[in-house]
Amino acid sequence: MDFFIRVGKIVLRFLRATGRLGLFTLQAVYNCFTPPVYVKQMVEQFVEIGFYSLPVVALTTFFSGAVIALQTYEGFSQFSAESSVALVVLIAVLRELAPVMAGLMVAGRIGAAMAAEIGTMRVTEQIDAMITLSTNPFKYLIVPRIVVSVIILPVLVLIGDVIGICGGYLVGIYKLDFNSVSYLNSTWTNLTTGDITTGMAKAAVFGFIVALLGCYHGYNSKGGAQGVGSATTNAVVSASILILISNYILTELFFKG
Amino acid sequence: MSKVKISLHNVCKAFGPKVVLDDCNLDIYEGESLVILGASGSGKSVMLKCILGLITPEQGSILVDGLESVHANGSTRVQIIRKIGMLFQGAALFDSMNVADNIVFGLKRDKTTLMQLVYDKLAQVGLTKDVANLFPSDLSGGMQKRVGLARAIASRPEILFFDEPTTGLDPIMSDVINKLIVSCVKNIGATALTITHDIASARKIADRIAMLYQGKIIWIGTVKELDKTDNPYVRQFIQGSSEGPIKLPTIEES
Repeated sequence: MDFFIRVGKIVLRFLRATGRLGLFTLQAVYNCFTPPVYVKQMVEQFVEIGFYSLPVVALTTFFSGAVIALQTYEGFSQFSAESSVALVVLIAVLRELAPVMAGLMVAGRIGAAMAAEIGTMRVTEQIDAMITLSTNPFKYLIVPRIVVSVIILPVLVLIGDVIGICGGYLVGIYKLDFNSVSYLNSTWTNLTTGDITTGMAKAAVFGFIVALLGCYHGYNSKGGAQGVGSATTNAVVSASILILISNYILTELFFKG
Repeated sequence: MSKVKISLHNVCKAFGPKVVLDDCNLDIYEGESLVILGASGSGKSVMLKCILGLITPEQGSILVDGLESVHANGSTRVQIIRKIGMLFQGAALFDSMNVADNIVFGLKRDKTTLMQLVYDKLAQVGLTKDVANLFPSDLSGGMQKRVGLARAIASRPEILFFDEPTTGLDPIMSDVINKLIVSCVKNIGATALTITHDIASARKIADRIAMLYQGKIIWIGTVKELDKTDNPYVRQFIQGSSEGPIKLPTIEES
């Protein structure tokens, strides 16, 4: 009996949390499409999310591309299919590695920062103060973060695509002794608009997830420093898990058949 | 008698099994300064947040200048909020902005007018112009409270709320803040509602004092009446005695 009570409580807690997140999402999306727009906050977020995330996205995609080239060569050379390395690097980076790595990196860097900043504002009553000063915290704090994340993550992924392919190319040329021209030719001929746009579409979804969960956990944080700490952890963990789950769903949608 | 500015009727609020406001009734008149006394956890802050609409009571009605605050729609909520300025317990300054931006937050005027407003309000709370460019983390607790007060009065609100204005301040700074509150309230002719457990502060600020206990206003009167009352709850509270009818929750009870 005790077991069923516990399971029931967990299910109820899960449903409550899902409902709260659903309402928060609706409110956030509604506020994205209604005035006023805080342009200064948007610009600040472009710098914070876009510009400052660039180094970490560049590094991770570069080494992801490089390691894919190494591993593919290792496997494909057993079947004398080394010439497909450039194609595999291209597809892996464009379709999966760049969007997922960028999403996870931004979740760690920006999702955590959003949860910590908004959480601290919540527990120190700054959000209540904002309301008493006739400013809607959803429009001032949450909308700029969500809108900018949805716009800027695809751009980061596009840059990550180029850098990831460069990583594979450099390993291919200097480590695996591929011919530079034929590697580039293989990459160029296999490059499709679809691969680029699906990667960017995934990135837009991941950007939404990261910003939404960072803001949600921060906005609903309770207690003091410990509450903000939990909000930060929850924001990163939940965003990372949702990114991986939604990546599978999007891959099924985009590439099945 | 002046008109009622804020009116609470049978307001009830509970968090789970804990009843915080229990059929609470209170009228605050235009232009008066009312202080609500009560022990920690007695529901003073919840009452303020209910009036502001930050918390929705389960039952009852709250009228602010004739506008219903409970379940108010967007435009009514904005109308109510625009009438109110608030000084928060920890000042609640935006730590990503400097003092000037904090003071004029949410105000829409040209830059020169806003800067003049900043300097005027800083002067009103006894701070110099050079504070305008500092960040909240550069200020002492007392200075943060003053900046918070400057922000609260910047839009010349009709109603001012003060949440524990002297908590965490030394007696001298507390007195400075009390005097500033009195002068600011008189200057802008606002109706003031202060919640505190600092009796000395209440005596300085209040025209009338109310005592909140177990979710109800159990006593209300002027400062003079406070000293003469034979209400055992009020007497115990102003004497700061642990002996008396007010029982603080023990660990077993809570």
